[in-house]
Amino acid sequence: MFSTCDKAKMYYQMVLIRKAEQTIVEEYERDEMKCPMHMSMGQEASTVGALFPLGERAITFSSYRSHAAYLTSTDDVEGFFAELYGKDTGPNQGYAGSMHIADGRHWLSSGIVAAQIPIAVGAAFGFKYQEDDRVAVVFLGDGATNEGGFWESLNIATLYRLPVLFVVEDNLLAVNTPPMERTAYRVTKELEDVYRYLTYGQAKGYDVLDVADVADSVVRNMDMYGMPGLLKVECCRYLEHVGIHDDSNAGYRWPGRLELWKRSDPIELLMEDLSQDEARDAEFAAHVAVDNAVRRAKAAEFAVIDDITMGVYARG
Amino acid sequence: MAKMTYAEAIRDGLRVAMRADESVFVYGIGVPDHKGAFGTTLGLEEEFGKKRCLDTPLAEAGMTGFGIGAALAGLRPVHVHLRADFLLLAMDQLVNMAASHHYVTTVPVPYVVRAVVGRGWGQGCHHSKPLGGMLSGVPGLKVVAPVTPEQAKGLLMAAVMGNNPTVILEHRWLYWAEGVVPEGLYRLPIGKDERVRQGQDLTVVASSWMVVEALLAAKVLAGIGISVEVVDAVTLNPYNGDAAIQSVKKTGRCIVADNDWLGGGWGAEAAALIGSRCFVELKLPVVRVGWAKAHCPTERKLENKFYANARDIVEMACLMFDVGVPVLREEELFSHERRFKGPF
Repeated sequence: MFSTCDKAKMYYQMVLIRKAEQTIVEEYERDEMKCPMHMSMGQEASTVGALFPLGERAITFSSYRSHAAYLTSTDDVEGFFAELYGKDTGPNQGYAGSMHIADGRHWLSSGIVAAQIPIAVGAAFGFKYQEDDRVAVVFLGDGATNEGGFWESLNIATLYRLPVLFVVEDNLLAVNTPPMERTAYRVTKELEDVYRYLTYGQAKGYDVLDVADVADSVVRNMDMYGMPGLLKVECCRYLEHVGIHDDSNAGYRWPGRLELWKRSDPIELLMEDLSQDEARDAEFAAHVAVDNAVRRAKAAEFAVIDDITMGVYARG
Repeated sequence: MAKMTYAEAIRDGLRVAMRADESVFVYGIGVPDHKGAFGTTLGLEEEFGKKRCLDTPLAEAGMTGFGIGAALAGLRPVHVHLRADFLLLAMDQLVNMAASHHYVTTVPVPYVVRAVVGRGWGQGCHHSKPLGGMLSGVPGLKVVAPVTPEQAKGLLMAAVMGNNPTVILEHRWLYWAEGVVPEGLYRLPIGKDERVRQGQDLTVVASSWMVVEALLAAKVLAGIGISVEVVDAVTLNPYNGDAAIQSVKKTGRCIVADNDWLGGGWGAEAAALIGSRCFVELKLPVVRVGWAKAHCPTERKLENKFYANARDIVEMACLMFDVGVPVLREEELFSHERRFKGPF
């Protein structure tokens, strides 16, 4: 199915996200990264697995929970930390921070739940219009499926048969509320019957190989039949909605669910498939990348901007 | 140069832009249908195909995000709303997403909205709002309100070929206005106001349909010896008021006539700007006319009380010069109201 090389790459990508976020947790209290952080920790497999089959064909869009998508899509660890520290060397020079970071193949992070979804659909229209083979991949939480923007986007994408992959990361939490108190429907394979052109896949978010495998078959269907795909990944967010703390005592999670998920942690699970050396190499590379990025970000300067209105309008 | 209506000028601008650039496409609810957005998109589907002239689901918010995404992918979308009121459904995408994207990421969003402003024959409170007031304070958005056919084409082409999210407010009653329009590729600068009538005693700074009312009022006032200069705002955002300020420095008196609610908005912005920049030259405070702070009623007599028109400008001017109000003939002042027979 996946070669050792593939697995090592996915392992590296997941460890990179985990290490980056662990470093944020360690450094956050210093109050040098002054922006709200919505952490991806625990959900690494869904992002890495969903993007793996597409490789460089993927153009990504995310909500404010941007870290996993940004790092996997761009592999730009230095830019990532520079932006979180608000420095001139960040891709957005401190104008974006964690919630709005965008660069390279990660085109947008939205601070508004679901606002990124129709934008990804429009980008997919652009790809189809220009007859290139890129695919818009949009990450959203199960909470975002409550928004009208999600359902409008599904209709638009299926009506125009656009190359967009909706990745619903279903962590069974919408902010601090269990799903039953917000949501009266389920996102299931039945959507394939409801929408004229849609291919659906569902994957286990603790197993990156399962996610990549299901994503691969969804993408194959998308390519073959010219239709959008929806990939639902059941996963678990380890930390609070926003911030760096464990909130398992807050009372809104199902008792024991977090511990259960941590016992099948996606990184530890994939490590079993790799040799010790392969795992160590990936971990070492990720640690070096993160450590260097943090050091350089701390040393970098803040942008010196004389006119705060500069760039409000594009030239022309 | 060719003589054409405002609606024809829009269609001409779209056609020229689409011929010149493969990345321009037009979409919106009903755009390719037999009515062609009041004639402005007729024939585009035949010439450019469904790919570049497309109907959409009833999803104003989603289709706005769609336009932003298409723009990010290198296209130049033109999104048509048959009424500007429908833009309220898309405010999140327009204000939160489109307006801020270039500022935060340095990636431009060349997304153009054409929104038609209704009035009369029962348009009521959901088919009449121009939204210029709400949108004129949003950094990153451009908002223009063409009055003449030449402006309709020139500003549209400037917006479509430009690199910023731009909202074009097209007043429904202007669609049959005729004028001479340059042929081929033609752009007018966005962000530049324009003196459209020369006078000595009073400046009326007006937006959109109120330019027509101001010109009518100027004619009436000329009859009683008051010489009125009229300045068309043209662009509501970003607004610098250069021509208006220059004019008020000369006349020393100013009425701001906004085709919108009096609360907040471009009219308030213009009055504040002119008031501070022309403080020394002003003989009287800047005054304003605009719509009542109420919702647009449906019935004609109620509606006439709601809207501002030439009569309000004439009365305000007479108050400023302390002269009696001349006899105003209803049939002349309300000729446009009688012309528009709807239904849409």
